[in-house]
Amino acid sequence: MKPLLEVQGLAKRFGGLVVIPDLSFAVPPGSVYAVIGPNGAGKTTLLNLLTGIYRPDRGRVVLDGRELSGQPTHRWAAAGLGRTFQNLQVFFNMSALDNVRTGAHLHERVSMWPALLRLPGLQRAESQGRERAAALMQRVGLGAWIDADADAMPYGALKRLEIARALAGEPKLLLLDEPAAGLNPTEAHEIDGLIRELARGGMTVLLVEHNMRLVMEVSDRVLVLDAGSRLAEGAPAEVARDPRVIEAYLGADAVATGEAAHA
Amino acid sequence: MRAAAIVSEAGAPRRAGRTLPRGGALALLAALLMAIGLFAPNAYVLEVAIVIALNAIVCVALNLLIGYAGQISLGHAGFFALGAYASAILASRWGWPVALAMPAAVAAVALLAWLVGRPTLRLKGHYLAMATLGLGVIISIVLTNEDRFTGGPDGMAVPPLVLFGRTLQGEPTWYALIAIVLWLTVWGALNLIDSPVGRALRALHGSEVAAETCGIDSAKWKLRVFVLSAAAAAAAGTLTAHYAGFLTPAKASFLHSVELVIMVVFGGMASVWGAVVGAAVLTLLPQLLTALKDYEMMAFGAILIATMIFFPRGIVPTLARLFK
Repeated sequence: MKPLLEVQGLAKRFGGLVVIPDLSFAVPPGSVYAVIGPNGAGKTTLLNLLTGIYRPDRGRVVLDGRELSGQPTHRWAAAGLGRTFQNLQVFFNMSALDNVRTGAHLHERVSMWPALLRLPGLQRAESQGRERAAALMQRVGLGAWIDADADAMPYGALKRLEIARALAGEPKLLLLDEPAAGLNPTEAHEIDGLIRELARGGMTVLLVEHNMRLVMEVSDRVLVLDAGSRLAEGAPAEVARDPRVIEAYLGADAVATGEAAHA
Repeated sequence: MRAAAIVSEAGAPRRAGRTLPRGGALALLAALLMAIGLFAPNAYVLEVAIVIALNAIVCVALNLLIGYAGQISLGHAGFFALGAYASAILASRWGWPVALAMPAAVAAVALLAWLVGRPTLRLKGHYLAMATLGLGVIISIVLTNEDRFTGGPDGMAVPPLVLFGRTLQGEPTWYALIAIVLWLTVWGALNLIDSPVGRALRALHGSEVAAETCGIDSAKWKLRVFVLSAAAAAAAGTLTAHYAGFLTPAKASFLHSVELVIMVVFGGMASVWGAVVGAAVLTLLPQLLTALKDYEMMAFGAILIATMIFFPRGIVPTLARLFK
């Protein structure tokens, strides 16, 4: 099958620090693809390269046949890329619902004059948009927060709000940057369920995550990064058994933990 | 099915709760503007009301840029004055009908704002503030020195506005026109904020990187709102010129730009009503404080500082939060 996302020979350095020397991988459509690695392995840099926030020094990123490297971030979004952020980037100056409605920007008729004059056609689209956004909030389990201001919401709900906002853009590929970071085990487990549900609905997910249990449970394939390079790639169970991974990432004495995670 | 029911349940009261204050406040503004027009005891009161309304038009537009999109312009007095002079010069030197000179002046200022905004708004940070500061100063110098066209520091006479064969003169007529323009400006700004465009602007202010990942072309929308707010300032300038019948370059001064920004911050960033309140209070305050003579500026400063301490978000948003 043709991959949805193809990364070829990607390289990025900051001054003298080479964060990603040369990285290639491919994400097949309809799968949950996880990228893991110890702190400083280049995971967040990779995500920023995959959304146009950083420009790569070398290499190509192709999404659904479109070459995107070097384009500004909003073009990546228009090409079908949605993302969440490890350290939240919620619009705290808006209501929760308006955060999600903003996520649908690409599918709205955004022009100055109809907005200024409050034309009836726009008002109809607006009320439909409001309902779609509310339904999406229900779907990610934020039904109780539809009327809330974003700055009044707890951390766990904000994590979901970012997912709802990204989904509102109807992306082809959803990048989740540590969706379980900072969540308690119950909340993290609910995120599992959400990701699995999205995958069942046919969404392709690129998951960058620290939480091994989450990665092992929801991923179809796992890419292990170490110092910006591919250490291993494969099904979660294979990767967890790979001695290089265990040594580099889980630590030499973590064999038992790795076994427990996918048991 | 169940989800749909919850949605409409949760959605309905919210919509009512949001549109009622909007419609109510717009009706209240209309009533207030009409009451001032009908019951003003003398022309002086109307004169002050006209100045307030003109400042409010500029501030509402400037607030779209500063309060909603998070971009600072320190050159709006320049756009205001350039609109005023362009319209005056087209009408007096080149004999254009005023009703045609006014929109032409607004279009010219919009074009200038586009030319200046396009390169600067692509950059992150406060480049727009610096560029507009420079532009405002240049406009001020040009208006003062090009006395062949502008009459220099002595100012120039401006022909009156003729609409449908009638010359607009006298405070009541001008007040009526400017009050209508103010109401329409407030209405348009509220419409814009509560639209996909408004959400895009607020998103830019909330988190530019997240806005971009939502597909919002940040440079494009910053530029559009910048041009829109410059054009509105120019429109207020053309009204001022033909209402007053006389123009001096003082209108273009950097201090006037700062005054406009203070009105916006004082009334409340990201609040259309705040911009109106800020313009009203800060236009009236110096008039009331003249009784203090030498201590006027001190009192003015003290009131500004106290307001920012007790109303950190500006008057209207802080009060709105209090009564929520």
